[in-house]
This record gives sequence, C-alpha cells and structure tokens, in this order.
Amino acid sequence: MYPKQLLGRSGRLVAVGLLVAALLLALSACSSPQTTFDPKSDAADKIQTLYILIIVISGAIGAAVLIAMGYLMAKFRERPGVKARQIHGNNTLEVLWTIGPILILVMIGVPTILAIVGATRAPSEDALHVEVVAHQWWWEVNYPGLGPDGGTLTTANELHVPIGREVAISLKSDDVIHSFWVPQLIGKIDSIPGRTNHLEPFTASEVGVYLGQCAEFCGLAHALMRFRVVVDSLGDFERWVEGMNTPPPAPEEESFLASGQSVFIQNCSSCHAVAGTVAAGRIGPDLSRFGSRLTIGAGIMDNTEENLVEWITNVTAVKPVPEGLPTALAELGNGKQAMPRFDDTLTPAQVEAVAAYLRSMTIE
Amino acid sequence: MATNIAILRRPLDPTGAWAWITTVDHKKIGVLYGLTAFAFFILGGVEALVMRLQLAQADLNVVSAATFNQMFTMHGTTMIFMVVMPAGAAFFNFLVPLQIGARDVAFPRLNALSYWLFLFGSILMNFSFFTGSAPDMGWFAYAPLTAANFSTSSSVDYWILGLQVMGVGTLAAGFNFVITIINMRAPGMTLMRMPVFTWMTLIVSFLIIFAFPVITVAITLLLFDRMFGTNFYDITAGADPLLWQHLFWVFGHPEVYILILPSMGIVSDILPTFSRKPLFGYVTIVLAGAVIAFLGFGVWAHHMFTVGMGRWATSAFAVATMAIAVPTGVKVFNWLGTMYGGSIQFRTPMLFALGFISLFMLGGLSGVMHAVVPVDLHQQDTYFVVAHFHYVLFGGSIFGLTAATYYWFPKITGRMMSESIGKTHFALMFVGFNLTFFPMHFLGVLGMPRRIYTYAPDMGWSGTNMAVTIGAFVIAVSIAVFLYNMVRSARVGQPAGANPWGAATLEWSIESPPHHYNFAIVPTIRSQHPLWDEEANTVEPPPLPYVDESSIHMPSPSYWPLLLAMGVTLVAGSLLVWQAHAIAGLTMGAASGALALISVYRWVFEPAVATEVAEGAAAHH
Amino acid sequence: MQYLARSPEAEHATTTGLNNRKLLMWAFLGSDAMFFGPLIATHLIYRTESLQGPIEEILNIPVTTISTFVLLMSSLAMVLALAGIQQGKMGTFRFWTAMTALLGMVFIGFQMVEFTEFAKHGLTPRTNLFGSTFLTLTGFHGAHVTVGIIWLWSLFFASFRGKVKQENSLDVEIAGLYWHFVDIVWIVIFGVIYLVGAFGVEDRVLEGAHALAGLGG
Repeated sequence: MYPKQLLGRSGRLVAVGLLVAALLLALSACSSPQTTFDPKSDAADKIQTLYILIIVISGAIGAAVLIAMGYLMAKFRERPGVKARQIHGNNTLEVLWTIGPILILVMIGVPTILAIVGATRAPSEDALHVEVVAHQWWWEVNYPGLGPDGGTLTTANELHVPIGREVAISLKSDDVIHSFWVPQLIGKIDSIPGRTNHLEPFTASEVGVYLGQCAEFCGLAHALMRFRVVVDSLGDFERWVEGMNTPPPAPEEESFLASGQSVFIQNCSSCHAVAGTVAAGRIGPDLSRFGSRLTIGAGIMDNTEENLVEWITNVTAVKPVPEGLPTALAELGNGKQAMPRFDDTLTPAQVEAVAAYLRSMTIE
Repeated sequence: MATNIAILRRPLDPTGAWAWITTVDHKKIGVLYGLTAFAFFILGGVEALVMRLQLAQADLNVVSAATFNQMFTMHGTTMIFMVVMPAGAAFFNFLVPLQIGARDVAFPRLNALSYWLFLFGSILMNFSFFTGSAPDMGWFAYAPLTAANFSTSSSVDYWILGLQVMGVGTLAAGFNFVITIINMRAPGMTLMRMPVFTWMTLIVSFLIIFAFPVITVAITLLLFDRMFGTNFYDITAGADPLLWQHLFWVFGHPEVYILILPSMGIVSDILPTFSRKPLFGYVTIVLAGAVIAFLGFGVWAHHMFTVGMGRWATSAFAVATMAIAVPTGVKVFNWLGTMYGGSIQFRTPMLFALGFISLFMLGGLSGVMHAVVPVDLHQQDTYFVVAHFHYVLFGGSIFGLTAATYYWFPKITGRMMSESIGKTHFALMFVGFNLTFFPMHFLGVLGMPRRIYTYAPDMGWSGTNMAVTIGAFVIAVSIAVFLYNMVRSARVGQPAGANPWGAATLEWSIESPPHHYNFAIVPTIRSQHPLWDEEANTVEPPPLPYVDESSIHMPSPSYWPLLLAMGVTLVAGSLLVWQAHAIAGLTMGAASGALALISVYRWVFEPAVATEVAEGAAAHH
Repeated sequence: MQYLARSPEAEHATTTGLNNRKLLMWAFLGSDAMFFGPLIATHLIYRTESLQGPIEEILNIPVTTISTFVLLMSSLAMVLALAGIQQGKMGTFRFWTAMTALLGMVFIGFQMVEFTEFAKHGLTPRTNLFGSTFLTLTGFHGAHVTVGIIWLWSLFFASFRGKVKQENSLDVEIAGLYWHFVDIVWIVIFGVIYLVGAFGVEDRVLEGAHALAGLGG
C-alpha cells in the first residue's frame, strides 16, 4: 500500500510518536496566571495584536514549507526505472524566493518599528509614576509624591495601581541585573545597576491581581523573586494610599502585639522599616502595613500566620541563601546581608508575637 | 637526536595509544575531536536530565537551587563549546583535506595543539565540579553577577580560564582551516568547485578568527577585575554593566553561526547524494552562507532588546535581524529545490538531513518572532527562547552532525552503520526532540521564565513540564541507541568500500578508511562533482593506482603540541591555585610556563618531517 | 568521461602560490586587530567616565610623540633589514635587525617610564576606569612589542648559526609583517587615545555639528 510504503518502519514510529506527543500536549495545555495571552492593559493588547500577526505569518510559512517538503518526499521518492533530473538551479525561482521573504519581512518590520517608537514614548502628564528598585531577591516599590507630606510612599513586592490611569514605571537595580515582567500588563524591561530604565506606560483595563516575576537570571534565588501587581478601582487605590500613609495604631501596652512590636524593634528594625514607628531599616523590604499584603517572601508564600512564623523561624528552609553560615548573616555581594534564621535567637513565642504584630497592621 | 632523553625522543612510528597521543594526522585528530565531543554530549545531556527531573513538577527538590544553577550553566557551556563546536571540528578535520584533495591540513602540529587545548580547557572547567565550585552564573555570565563581590567562589574563574584555554585552541584551528582551504587545494579544485561543507568550514573559520578575539577580551577584562582589582565591570567605579553584554554578544551571535553553518554544509552535501542530483543553486547556497556570516556580526544587540537601548538602535537591530531571515530562507528553499525532480533514497543520513531542514526551519521562524521587539519583550528569557534555540542548535546543529556521523562513518571506519538501528534512532530522536522542545513554546507563552529552579503549583505549567521531561528521556534513549549503533557498527558493520552512497565529492574517491597520506597521487579536479557523470547519471569510481609509499613524505608525529597545551592549561590552573595560595600558585605558574616555553622552542626547531622517517622508509625499499 | 585525473606534479605547490606561514601571519593579524578593536572601544567608551583619580590630562603628549617617532623609525629599520636579507647582505640584515629591536626596546623603555610616572601620580589599573582601560590597552600593546623584540633578537642570533639565510628570507618577512602591524596599532592608539584626549577632538566635532545644526535650523 502506498502510504505504508512511503512511511516505512521509522515513518510509522514517527507518526505514532508525534500523535502521542500531541495527546500529551492537549492534556497539559492549560492557562496560567502568568500567561502572555490574556492581556489586561492597553500596552499588552498592542503586543498581543503583533504577536498574533507574527504567529499567523510564521505559522503559515512553516506549514507551507512542511507541506511542500512532504509532497517532494512522496513525489520524488526513489522508484525503479525513474532517474533523477540533473537540474543545477533556476535563477528566476531563486530571485523570487529571495524577494518574497523580503516583502513578508517588510509587512512585519513596519508595524514592529511603529510599536517600538510607541513603546518608548513619554508618559502622559497625569500618569502615576512608580519607581521599582530590584534587589537580590526582592522588589522595592516607591511612589514619589504619594507619601506623607508629598514624600515617597514605599512598599515592597506588591505594586498597587489604579485601573484606567496611565502607569509609568521606572526601573533601577541595587545590585545585579534583574528584569521586571508582568505578562498580563506589560513586556519585560531589565533593571540595570547604574541605569534607569522605563517600561512602556500602560493603562490597566481590569481590576485584579497580576503575577510578575524576575526574568533575568540574578543569582541563587532568582526563581523566587516574584511579585504581584494589584490593579485597584480608583477608590480602592486612594484608600490604599491613605492607609499606607496613616501611622499604624500603637498596640495596647503589655499586650501580645506590644511584645511583638518590641521584639521586632529590637531584632528586625536595623533591616526593616515600618512607617510611623522607629523601625527605619532599609536593608530588607519595607514592611509598612504588612497585614495588607497578599504574600510574603517576594511573592513565594501566602501571607498567613503559619507561613510568616516559618519564614521568621528559619528563612533558609524556604529560600536559599548564598553559601555561608545560616545563622550568621550571609553577606550578599553589595555588602548587604541576607535575612538570618531566628530560631536560635528568638523563642517560638517571640516569633509568633512578631508575626502577629506584623499581620495586625492592615488597611481597612 | 641522541641528546634527547629517551621519553622525549621523537616518536617515529608509534603504535597503540602513543600513535594517538603524538598524532598530527588530521583524520586521527578528527576522530579524537569526535569521541571527546560525544563524551561531553553525554555529560551535557545528563546535566539536562537533572534539570528536567527538577522541573518535572512544581516545587520539587531533586537538586538544590545552587546545583540547578550549575547544571544550566554547564549544560549551555558544555553543549556549545565542548560538543557542537568540537563535533563540527571533528568533521572539519576529517573531511576538509579529503574534500579538497590535500594530504593534511596546512599546519598539522598546530592542529594537534588545537585539539589538546580544547580537551584540557574542557577538563579544567569541569574540574570545578570536584572543588564544588562549578560555574553557576549562566553561560552568558552577565556582569555584574560575575564580579568578585557577587560570585565569591572561584566558579567564574574556572569558567573564564577553561574558556580561555579552549578559545586559544579554537583560534588556532580557525587559522589552520582558513589557510588549508585557501592554500592546500588540489589542482583544479577552484573555490566554486568545493563541496559546500568545505565552504561552510571556510566561513566558520573566518567567523572564529574574527569573533573569538572579542570574547577573549571580554573574559580577560573580567579576569583582571576578579583577580587584579581593575574596574571594567565595576558599577561602583562608574562602569556600565552593558559593556559586558555588548562584548559578549558581538562574539555570541557570530558564535551561533559558528554552530549552525557546519550543519548547513553537511546537509548541502548529503541532499544531492540521496536525491541523486546536484545541489539546487550551489552558488546561491554558498553566497547565502557568506551573507549570513557577514550579517551575523551586525545583529548582536537583538539579545539585548530588554536593556533599554533607545528606539532607533532597537529598530536597527530588529531590521538587521529580520534581514538574516532572507539568506536563511533562500537556503531552505534551495534544499527543497534539490529534492525536486530527484530520486530520493530515504537512508538514515537523509532522514536526519530532512529532520534538520524541518526543525531548523521552525527554529528560524521563531527567531523571526524575536525580531518583533514588542513580542520579544514577552519572549525574552522565557522558555519560548529555550524552545527557539534548541530548534536551531539541536534540531539544526545536532541533527546535522548526526546526519554527518551516519553519512561519513563508512569513510572514517570503513564500515557501514546499521540502517535499521539508525532508523529507530531517528524516529526516537525526532519524536523525543519535538516532545521536549515544542511544548516549551507553550511554557514561554504561559509566562515561564528561563533559569528558574522551581515554580509554584498554581502556575499551570506542571503538565507541560512533565511532557517535556518525558521527551527529554526519550531523547536520552535515542542517544543510547545511537551509541550502540556506533559501537556495534564499528566492529561488525558491513564493509563500506570507497563510495557506498554513490556520492560525488572527492573524499569518496579513496579507500575507506583512507591511507594516512589520503591521496596516493594528488588528484586534478575538473568538475564540481568529480565522481559523477551527470549526463549518464552514473558514478564513475576512479582507478586506484599502485603507489610507492616511500615517495610520500607525511608530517611526523610530535609530543610538543600535547606538552605545550599542557603547559598552557597548567598556567591557567596556576592562577586558580595562586588565589588560594600565592607561593604555590607562583611556583606552579613558573614550572608550567617553563614547560610551555620549552615546548614552543622545541616545536619551532623540530622539522615537520623527521629525517629518520624518510631515510628509514628509503632504506626499507 | 573522466572527471578525475591524477596530478603527480602538484605535490608541494600551494593553491595561491603564497606561503602557508605568510598567510597564517596575515590571518593572525586580522584576528589580532579584532583583539585590539574592543580594547580601544572600551577605552573610548570609558574615557571620561571615571569617578575619581587622574584621567587623560595625565598623558604626556610631547614625550609620547618622541616614543611614537622611535617606533615608526623601527618600522623603517625593519624594511631595511628585510631588504638586506633578500639581497643576501648579512651584515646589512644584522645591523638593521638589531636597530629594529633596539628601537623597540627604547619604545618599551618610554612605556615603562610612562607607567611609573602614572603610578607616582596615583594612576594604576585599580584607580579608576581610565587607569583600567588605558593601562590594559597599552599594556597589551607593549606585550606585543616585547614578543616582537624577542623574535627579532632570535632571528639576529640565529643568523650567526646559519639558520637565517637569503633563501629563507620569508622568516624575516613574516616577523616584519608582525612588527609593522604592531607599529600600526600604536599609531591608532596614539591618534585615537592620546591626541583625541589632548586636543578634545571629540568636543570640537560636536561643536561643529551643533554649529551646522544651528545653521540648518
């Protein structure tokens, strides 16, 4: 039979194999909260349009070449009595298939350049400016002008932005190169030490929580350098800013929370800041209104009492630190230090108190 | 010669292991390159499998983050510098002199030096696994992560020094093949009669001699920063970390063509043989290769679309990148044209060549997608890119090199490889490849970044990753089948004869395996297809004349390339020792430097052909 | 029809008629140019980016002009040495080879004085970007000159043992190629790094461009 002859043993193996592969794929193909194919901003929409254009064009070319190849394989397979035609080439054809691709590339190139120009435009006047500083392995988030008295509002690992208002994010790095990427909102741009980069200004189109992740390899815990972008309604965003700018109520004296606060001030404040308290460390993430955060540890765990206790007790169990002593402060390259484990300096009760204190500072 | 101590007396007619250690014969050196590359292919493959086990499901702990980072760094470095490049060099070495009608390369001892530098450089870099400080910063080694304050172990130093040693060997090989091809062709072998594989070797050699100095500078500056406190990549001194990226990719992109052009040449030689007709548009294919290489120096910054270069630089590099698609497309179309009107024989080399065309073409198309910069801002540093370059470098380079192995194995060993095992190998590798790398496109689209050692269960990546891991193991099985086929065929394969495939190029005119002197009498070439009578569509094997072997003077074996390579590698190693212990390092450096200098001196004053050989042979007859 | 004939006479000739080793030197020099290219580019990029310490105001143009002249003259001597060996005049060859090497050594002497002066003024490779790039670039050039000097003296002494003769004047020619290349690299370094730095050529070009833009606008 003709197809059987054509395929032969290896051909049948290939066909069955590819079928199994396709089935496996069909089973596994599902969506992701970090997908690039469900855009939720104007900028991501524009990328999506180009993405589909290029997929369609290259898919069509790929399919055409594969079909042509299959046809040639079938049509010109060795047959008894049929000799190959000694053709050396064909100038007309070769010129045609040089010019053809050039025309197709013009079709792709023009919208590409237009999009590049658009992506590097200046933000509009009423855009919300956010400055993100990447650290090994977390994100510092600053809102110039939104802090108390027109100062800077600082948080970490979670950006809040309002829906419907243009957001202009600038990127810096405190140590090595990182890359800021929230696939559903915007393409990635690197955070480079000594430079300030700018993401294309974007306007989010749907309220929700969007996942982002560092995309440039930045050392040991690169995989755990995640973050969230929370797109709020305008009202929610204003409430969040106001909440961040209001000093947290002091815990009742002698209470469990007060003991947590004092342990925190003694042990944590040289690295961490909490707005409205004496804790003003800048080495680690700012923990103001920590209770309002969705996650801890740069987006790697849900913000629950249990997780936070685990984190403080022995951070090295959940996040690798560079070689060095787990209890002594492991020094990172920029002279800064990784968070130590506290199970040998604090009692479990003290850790629980700190966790409770941090989680008590919420935004209503 | 009597003044020499016994062990260093010139080996005149060594046998066994010594014959290999002291060889300057391009065919033996080619085999050494090939075997070494295959060994590293298995090592790099194991590194890949470790990664795939770790990523098979979310939140696995098969290996630590530190080990995972070492795995992807060494997988990339190994596959590029210790597998694909030397595997290409294996075929350059074995075939180029045979294809142009030469008795050896232009500089046989320099050729041996290239191999030993490659081997020792690779060993030096991999030695880091035993000291627990294997390179872990990615094969691209971006500053400032590689600075002494961010990479505190000697991992980066091992990487630099290993690469430096290998790079010197690669450069020497580049010079050697440029001059061999320009200057050692048999009478009548004009440039436009050369087999395409030899053409691509020439182009790759030019790429090497112009691109490798740039990486040499980049890693020398990094070494100076790390060891002597200079400031080239030190941000606190005002340096720009993008300097590294520019230098690295000015080398790195031509390097991509160094990896793929040999396979393009291989396929261009195999297709005509198994289509039983000449290559369609030989001149166009050769020119396209040259244009690709030339443009390859002008597109480096497309690896840097996310660094914020400014709109016009970005646009220019996007357009240049798209332009490369044109000559690449021309090649693919001309290969299809070669099949048109042919009488196609589906032998194993042809299957791998067809696999190459289809997979490389898909990789090329995803490459064009990266040139669409806004889309690249999504794809960069995700599994989409991993899928893309594996289609090009595995589906392209490795499939091409595998095709070459099946095609030229008979010439190298005198025995055919098993067709039935070969076809099983092809089926497994083709399916395994696509199962591994096609789903990676989806992972990229779903937002999975590269170089992450773990991911959360709710990311929706687990199922696809499992499919990828299964595919990786299918590839591993196919490689085991390949290895079995080679070992078995080398022992019991069918005797091949001079021209088992009825091919047209010059290497098939002589015995398999060839005599150490290749051509008994240097041939005169009168056509692009010296073994084909195209009108009659028949193969005309030339008569093999009897020749008095004593009239052929071949370069004599030598120890000095080996000892020089050892000296150079130990000098590099002494820098590592010096960091831990100054006196020991300096002592070692002085001793190994002396070894290198003595080797150079003895090499220079050693005649290429030892007189005893000629005299002995004359006396014999 | 016979497409493949045998040519016994083609045993030793090269395809182009050029010697392999001479081609090797040309290929090496092409490659070496790609070595100096990035070093020069790195220096130009970082020329004025240093955050501390002395930069190009430290360069002594008059003294370096003299050393540049010395190196240029050594190239002339190299030409005469090659002419000597090609004509079989061993005395001429030896004299001018020694002159070439000596002038090279004088150049290296100048460089050592320059580096020492810089160190006295607090400029080392560790001081700042200028120190790193300038000293690495000129240091690598100095290393090239030093290799050339050793090579030339080797030829000089080998000539007394009858190893350098009119018949193998190619050995001298290849050394000469290398020497001239190293000389040319220095001319580029002197022009691009010393003179541009000293006379602010870049600034003037920019001024000119602004002036032109002003006329146009």
